Amino acid sequence: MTPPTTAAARPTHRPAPGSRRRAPSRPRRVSGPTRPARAAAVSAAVALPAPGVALPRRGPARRTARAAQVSPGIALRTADALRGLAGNTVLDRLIRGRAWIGLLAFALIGIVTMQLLVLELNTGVGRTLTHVAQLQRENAQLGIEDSTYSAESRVAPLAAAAGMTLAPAGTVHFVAANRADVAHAATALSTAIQSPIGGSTESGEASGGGSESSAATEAEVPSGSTAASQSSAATAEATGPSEAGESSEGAGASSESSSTASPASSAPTSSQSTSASTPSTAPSSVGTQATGASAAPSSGSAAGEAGGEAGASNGAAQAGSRE
Amino acid sequence: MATIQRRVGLLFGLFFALLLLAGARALYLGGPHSGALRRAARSQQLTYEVVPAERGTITDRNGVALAISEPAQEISADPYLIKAPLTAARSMAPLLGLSQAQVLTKLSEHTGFVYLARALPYEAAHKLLALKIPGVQGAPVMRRVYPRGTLAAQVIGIVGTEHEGAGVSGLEYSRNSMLAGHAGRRRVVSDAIGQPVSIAETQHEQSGASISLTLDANIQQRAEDVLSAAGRIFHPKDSTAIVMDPRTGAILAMANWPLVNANHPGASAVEALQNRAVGFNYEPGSTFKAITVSGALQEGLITPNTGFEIPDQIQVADRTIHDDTEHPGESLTTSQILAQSSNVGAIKIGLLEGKEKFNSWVHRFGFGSPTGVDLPGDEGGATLPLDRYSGSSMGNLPIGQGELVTPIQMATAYSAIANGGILRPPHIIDQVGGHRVAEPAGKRVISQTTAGELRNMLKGVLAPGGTASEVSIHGYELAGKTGTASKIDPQTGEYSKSAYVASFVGFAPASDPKLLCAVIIDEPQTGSIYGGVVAAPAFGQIMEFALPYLDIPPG
Repeated sequence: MTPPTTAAARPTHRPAPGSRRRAPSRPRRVSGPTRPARAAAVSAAVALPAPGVALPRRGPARRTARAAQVSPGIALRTADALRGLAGNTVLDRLIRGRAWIGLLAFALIGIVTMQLLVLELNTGVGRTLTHVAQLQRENAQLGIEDSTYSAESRVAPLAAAAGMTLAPAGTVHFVAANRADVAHAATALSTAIQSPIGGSTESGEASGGGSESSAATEAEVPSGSTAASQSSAATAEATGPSEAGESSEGAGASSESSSTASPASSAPTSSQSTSASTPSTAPSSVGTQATGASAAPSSGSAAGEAGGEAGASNGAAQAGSRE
Repeated sequence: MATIQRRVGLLFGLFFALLLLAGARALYLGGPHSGALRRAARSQQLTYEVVPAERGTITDRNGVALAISEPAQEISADPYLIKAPLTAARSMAPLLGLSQAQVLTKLSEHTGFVYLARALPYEAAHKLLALKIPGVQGAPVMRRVYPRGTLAAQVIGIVGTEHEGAGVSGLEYSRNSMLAGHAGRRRVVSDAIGQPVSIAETQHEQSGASISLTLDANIQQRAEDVLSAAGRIFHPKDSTAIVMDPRTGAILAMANWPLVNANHPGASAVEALQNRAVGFNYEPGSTFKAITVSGALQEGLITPNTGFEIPDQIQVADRTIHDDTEHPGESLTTSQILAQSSNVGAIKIGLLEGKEKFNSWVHRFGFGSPTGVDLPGDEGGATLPLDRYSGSSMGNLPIGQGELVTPIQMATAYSAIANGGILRPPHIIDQVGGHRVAEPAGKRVISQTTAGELRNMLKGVLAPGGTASEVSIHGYELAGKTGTASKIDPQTGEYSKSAYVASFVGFAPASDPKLLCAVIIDEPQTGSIYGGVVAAPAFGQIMEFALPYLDIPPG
């Protein structure tokens, strides 16, 4: 009787106790499903069911089959990779030495630091949002205050307390522009600037009114024009009241704040009536138009027209304030 | 040796038992108790905050804020969780702006939720929440503030507390979709001490669009002041004034009296919240005569100098219509008929025109349908359908009786006369979100010549001998028309002998109108009832301020 081959392959003697066990000559069998079994599972998945048996839902069945096909592959590949990593000489040398302690410490500290930074960032975001909300509140509050403070019901009594009154409608006069205004403006522009714009505002206030309109005009008119008008106004006084009648639109502006005692108030001008000490809100834009035409060539009558502007007010400075 | 081994064994057993205990506990916490723990963590560490959308600002044409939103808190409480309601009420009452009794009443309710304040200003809310009263909590909301209080309150409207503060009247209501924006949502993870460690916006907050109006806050203020003064003198039921630029249809002021403080709308009567400038239907009376005359002028039936024999009264079918004052038969031109507001003369012109043409002109001037102004509650008035004209209809329709109009309709129709014949829908919204809104297109209703003739004729109303001759603005030539119309008495169904609507519609400068103003005063009780006495002076006062304010040269 022939003994079975396995029995023949088995070693005949047991090692003595205490002696080293020899490594097997062949690698051990790896446990797990065998290939035929896997093939059977796949074939079972695609086998047709018996008649009368409800078909399983397609989606999950497919997914199961795919998972059966893919996951063992991934697992095996991962295991292979780990096995390869374990045998990596660089890693092996690193782990055997003391450098890995430092490396690990560095990594751990890095991770903790990053976590802290992220936390700090998030706290910063929280703070920023709080700040945004605070600014939003302040902005709204300022808007409310701005609207409240600019209310006429509040401003009017304050203005009255400061000695200002609203110009009665009929006292505000405008004059028409004429060709000579252009020449006057050009002459005015060619004159050297003599005083800053700020001075004109003060003079406007000093004239007893029209501060609003002065400020508005100054905001609209380039500084050069303003100064030029001031200088031309100075010329006007010398020119005399007769020419003041040919006033520009800007002259109308100056006439509103002019005093009846002004040098040119007796000028034979129909358009420049005077309204003593009455602040005007109206003519600022008109005055701007007059100065806006200053780029045109000048003529000899220019100074006289400037006189119209200046003459209607309390003097050169006041005329400047209107322009 | 055996003792040592036994002790080691005991220690091993002890540690093994502890390990088993810890494992069992871990299994319990990770298994059966995991749901509760997860919920607890979610409530303690993870919160979803609502980021309320900032409602768009409403400004006037110069950027003055008329309605603005500011962050606030909605304060609520769970009365069941408040252990000492009296102490809590005492500490919270001043911050809530309520009395202790009011707060205590709320805290004593048998419910798990009660509002203490719907939109408490942030500072007060911050102080209140800092008290850390258990059961009291806050939620961020936006609070609508109207810095000018009563200014244009009926036009701008108000917002409610429900539905995330949606508008309930005025522009706040009609433009709610533009103004409201969309609230955002934020996911906040906090650490053990409540510091946020992770903030993520799950839904972006979108602010509402700002709206810039054509209104001018200063003119509006003046109009309201003038109406208030008229209210003190004549004690009317209510009144309204409209200031418009007739060239563009831009509304510069739209005032209503009684005034309403938009910050405290509950303090006013519900009727006072109505914008009567667009919603008040009234019989226009003599102001309508200009429409009658313009139709006849445009048809070429009359000229300003056409003469009419005017008796004291006129019979139309079964009705006899008198002039306002008894007078002998006289001869008046068309201009004089308008200036003296002759009923008989206007009826004669209407009869000359015929009912078909008259009816056509009524509709051409926009009566009977809403003006199309971008405001809610734009009423269309009521006109008599042509097929329902009776024999006597032409005895009252040409003098402004028997049809209903709104103040904005009258202002729009007169704007067409003022601007040379173009009927243009009025508008009040200038810009939305910084983008200019296109001005509505107009249509020509009368020729420039006719409009010019009418303007000249309407000057006579404010000239000596006219019905509003006492009104003048130095340097400016004014034109307009007075109106005094009886109201229907709801009890009798007849025209009342005591209830009138006094009105005036006019513009300036008469030769080149740049500003128009309509004043309608409903049921003046004391002083006078006539448009020339009650409404025209108000017109004069508003225009006296607005004309120089707008840099409109005299003329």
